[in-house]
Amino acid sequence: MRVLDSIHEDGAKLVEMTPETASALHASQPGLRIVPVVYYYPAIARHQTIAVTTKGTRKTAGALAVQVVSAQGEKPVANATVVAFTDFDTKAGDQGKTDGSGKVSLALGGGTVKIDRLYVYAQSALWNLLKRNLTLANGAKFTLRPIDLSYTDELRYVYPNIALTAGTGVSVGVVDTGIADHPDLTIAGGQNTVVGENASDYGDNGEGHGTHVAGIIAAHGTAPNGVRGMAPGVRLFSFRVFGKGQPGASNYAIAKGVDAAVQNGCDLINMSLGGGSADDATRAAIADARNAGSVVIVAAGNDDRQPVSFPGSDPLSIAISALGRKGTYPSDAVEVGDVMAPFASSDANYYITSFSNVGPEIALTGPGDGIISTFPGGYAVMDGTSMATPAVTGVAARLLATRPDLLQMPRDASRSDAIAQFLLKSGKPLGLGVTFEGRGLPS
Amino acid sequence: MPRFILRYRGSGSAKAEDVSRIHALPHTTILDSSSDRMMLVDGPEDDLRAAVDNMPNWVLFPEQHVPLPDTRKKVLHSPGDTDTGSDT
Repeated sequence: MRVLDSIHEDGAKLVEMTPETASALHASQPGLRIVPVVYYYPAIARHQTIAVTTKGTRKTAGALAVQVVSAQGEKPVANATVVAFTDFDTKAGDQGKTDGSGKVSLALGGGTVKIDRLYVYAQSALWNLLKRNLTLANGAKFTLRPIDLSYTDELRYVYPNIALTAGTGVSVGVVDTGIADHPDLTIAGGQNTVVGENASDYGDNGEGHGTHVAGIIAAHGTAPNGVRGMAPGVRLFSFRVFGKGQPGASNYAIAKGVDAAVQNGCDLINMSLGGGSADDATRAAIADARNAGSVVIVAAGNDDRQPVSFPGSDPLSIAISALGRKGTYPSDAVEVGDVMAPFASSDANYYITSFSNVGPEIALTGPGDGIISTFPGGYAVMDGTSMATPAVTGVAARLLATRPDLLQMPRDASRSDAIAQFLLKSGKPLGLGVTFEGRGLPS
Repeated sequence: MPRFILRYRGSGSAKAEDVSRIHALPHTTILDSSSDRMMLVDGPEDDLRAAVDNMPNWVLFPEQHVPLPDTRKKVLHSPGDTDTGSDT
């Protein structure tokens, strides 16, 4: 590392260093803000550019009807989303949802059509399906495999044999879509921070995302009748920031949710959300949480290897990328399409998923490809940095439970810095590179 | 009208006189004040900024929205689209 300039002796410094050095420095001093140099340019008008649009002349296409059924009794699967790409690279094709008889009509042309990739996404209870290079004909039928709760998915492969007491003494807040009542989950409390909704309604808003996240952290079921998370002994809190029927969460609701998590004594705050431009309200809430002794663990985002999205990119966030592992999902599951180089030098079956964002802000990585967890009314398989983040949060809670000295520190920035440092030091590199895995997989 | 977040960043809860001053601002509607350190308001940005400038430890942010994460693949156009067009 080379110091190029300094505002004053104890002030900000301009330094030159490699991503590896930056990652090591962040791990040793997590309270230190390390931000890349940004250049600003005069606000002159730029030349217009030509962009490909989705508008165009849509030819009258014939329709192909396909059906989706479950392997269990050939039952029709309703509300499954079928996405058929005639060209995956340009994202050309058609998509639709199945009706009550499991059927959907796709406008792809008559006769038979060559399909580059076909994805079938069920709402829950089933593995999602990927078919590549197929010829699709009218009346085609696709069969989805039911989820076996004894299946060794990536989460249970990486972290097997979790005790029911793991995480005892640690409080974890999930800032998300809310958490549904579920036999595998015990919710200690929470708050709905969406303006206009009932503050005491912190159950799932119907999306299931928060319930899935919560199960990865704290589910206390036992296979084959239930699932187990990484830290079943934690006190689990739900802070719902996504309203019912709303596609997005307000930064006001998010900041209020983070504040509420701090007020409820959450040691770790899981935020499986992000995107859009950086905003100072969320940034202030994260900084205030750190000053109150809590650590915020944030998803890197799922924009196909783009830079880490905000708030994961905030210097005080612990940003998580999504790790995948070949062989921890069925051979025709959608996760097969997430495999992408580089592969780990320690074990070539490991990869950072193709959808995961990456960059120097990545602090750690966690299992996030084909994860079985709780869902309103049952169980579901989901993929994303949204799943990798609670995996890390759960492991962090399990590790933190073994450190009463850290838990008993006064709730201030020194406490959160010590917890963050402890967590970052728990990372074991897999050999994927720091911009992909940060300090590695916590254990 | 855009909505704004007023956040108190001092120690403890926000001062009652500051909260009263915000409530008294003209042309401003308080949409949520259930937090002890934040408010969501609907009002003219210039007036809000002027008020915040006179209240130590308060900051003003515009409200923004974050989408629900989703990794599911999506079709962007039909196979029949022949005009990729130009767009500025």
